[in-house]
Amino acid sequence: MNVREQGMGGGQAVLAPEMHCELRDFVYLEARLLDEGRFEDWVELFHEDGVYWVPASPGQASPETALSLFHEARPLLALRARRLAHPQTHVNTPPARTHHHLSNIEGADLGGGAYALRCMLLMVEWRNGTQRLFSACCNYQLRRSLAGLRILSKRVDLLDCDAPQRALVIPF
Amino acid sequence: MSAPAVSALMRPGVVHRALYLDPDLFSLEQEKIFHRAWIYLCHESEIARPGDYMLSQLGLDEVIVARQADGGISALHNRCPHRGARVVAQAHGSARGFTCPYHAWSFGLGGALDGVPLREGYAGGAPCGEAGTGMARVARVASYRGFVFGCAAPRGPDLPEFLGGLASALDNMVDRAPDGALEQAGGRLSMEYRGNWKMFMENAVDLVHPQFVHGGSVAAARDTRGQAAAEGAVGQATQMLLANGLRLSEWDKLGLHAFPHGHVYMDSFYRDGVIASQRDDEAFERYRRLLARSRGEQRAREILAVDRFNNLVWPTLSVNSRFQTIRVVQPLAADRTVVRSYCFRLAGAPPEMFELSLRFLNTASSPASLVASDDLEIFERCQQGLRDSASDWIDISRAMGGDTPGEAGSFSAAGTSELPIRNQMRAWRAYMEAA
Repeated sequence: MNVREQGMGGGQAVLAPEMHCELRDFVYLEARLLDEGRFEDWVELFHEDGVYWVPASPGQASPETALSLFHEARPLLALRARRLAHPQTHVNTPPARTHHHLSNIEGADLGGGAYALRCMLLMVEWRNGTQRLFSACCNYQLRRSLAGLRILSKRVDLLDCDAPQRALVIPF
Repeated sequence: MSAPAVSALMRPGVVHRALYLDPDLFSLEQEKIFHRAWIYLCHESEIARPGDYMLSQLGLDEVIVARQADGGISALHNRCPHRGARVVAQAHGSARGFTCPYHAWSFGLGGALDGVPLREGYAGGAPCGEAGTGMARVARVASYRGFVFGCAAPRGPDLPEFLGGLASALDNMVDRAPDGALEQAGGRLSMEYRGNWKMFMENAVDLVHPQFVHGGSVAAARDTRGQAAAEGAVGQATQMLLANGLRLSEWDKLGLHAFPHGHVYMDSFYRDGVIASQRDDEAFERYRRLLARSRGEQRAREILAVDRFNNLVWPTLSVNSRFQTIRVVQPLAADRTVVRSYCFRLAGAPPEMFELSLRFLNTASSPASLVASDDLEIFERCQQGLRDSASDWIDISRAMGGDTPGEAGSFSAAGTSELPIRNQMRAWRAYMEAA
């Protein structure tokens, strides 16, 4: 569900400027953790019921009825992070390098400490002598907890989600 | 390249690196293998109604597979016979026929030329030569229990004869449906690697590699083995990752079964949780009862007892009946390959059986898979290493001479044998040397 459906056009409270800044800083932090290879810290940004989803077809309605590039609840994300740190993970040897560039950030206050955030992502990846560029639209559902903002869901719609991809190593 | 030149690329227990590197050899493979073998095109459920069509690949050629008005299936080369334009650009759809966007030549679902603007401009009222006969048809199209294959050669073994000992893999998937039918559903996943197409088919039945190639995901799953008891996708994925951690002595206990035409299947190695063949959970019991109701207890037991993992119909199809999935290898160049994965709904089965299938592919066959991404990396390392000038030869000799002959030209071996690779190479040579 994107912000427009969920938030801005749907009668929710307009996001206060300082809240917009907090949401923006949250996804900037997330991008930095991924670019610095701090994957276990990245997983910590997810709510314990949080889910990371990258559909394999445009406009995919659900991860339960069709195949996905990634569809992982937090325990599997934690497993993924541990695997990335393991020396026998050949696909990340030597480690891939990425830059996650974020823009077009829009947020909405859903009330009760819940927020929606939509942004565009350009991820540039350098791996095994090849540079790749991924463009995506990201939709987040965030919730404020005692520890701060946490990700309830993050959906990443790649522009070329249905194209053949070489190994995908670093999360978007 | 001549037949003697091809035979010089093979010696007992070794093959020449040119099989993986040489663009000329790759072109010859297209002619000698991909235009002579039966190549999987689609499942009938994808083109269920008259007029339904979809694009597929037969080797490097793009073909339109279409359901005819009479229920038959045609496969047409996606090329206008007039000036060569690609006629259909939509991956799938429904139509009464096809019209070229360039000069509006139109064709029936079977490829016949229906309409040509300015027909009076042609002597006799029709374009001369091949163009007058419409779009080029794939010589033979046949369906085996809903799985549609095409063959560019007008003569040769028919589809059941070609499938041989591996028809049983397709049979078993259909037999698992209580209502006796499959439906392809859930989209597809497409992986690409910069390596030769043969590597995927070799690796799928190489039982020495998992503990080494997948060591990272096995270790991470062992750290969190408690998750294997979780419900849903978390439990299933953890069970699948842990299963790759068998010791070599355990892999060796699995059987490998090789057949003519390069086909092979391996026994399954899944023993625990929802991925085990003998599950005892509530959802599976509901499914088992539905199957027993339609087939009888005895027959249902036999169907569910078939416990194989990868079933390879060489050169392009890998079948996993137990998880209702297939993978299709599409060669693009000597050093470039795409593998597409599809799952199937068992008609009359509870929805949990389709979820099992989806989660199986999400875990095992996405380019982001914790398993497959390491395989893709190894294929690319092989392609890179083979360019090294130190040697022309690669070794496929493990457990050579230890094969046990079986029925209908088949051979079996222990799990760590390289019998499947040698069997694929035997088929490769037979295709390549044929006149």
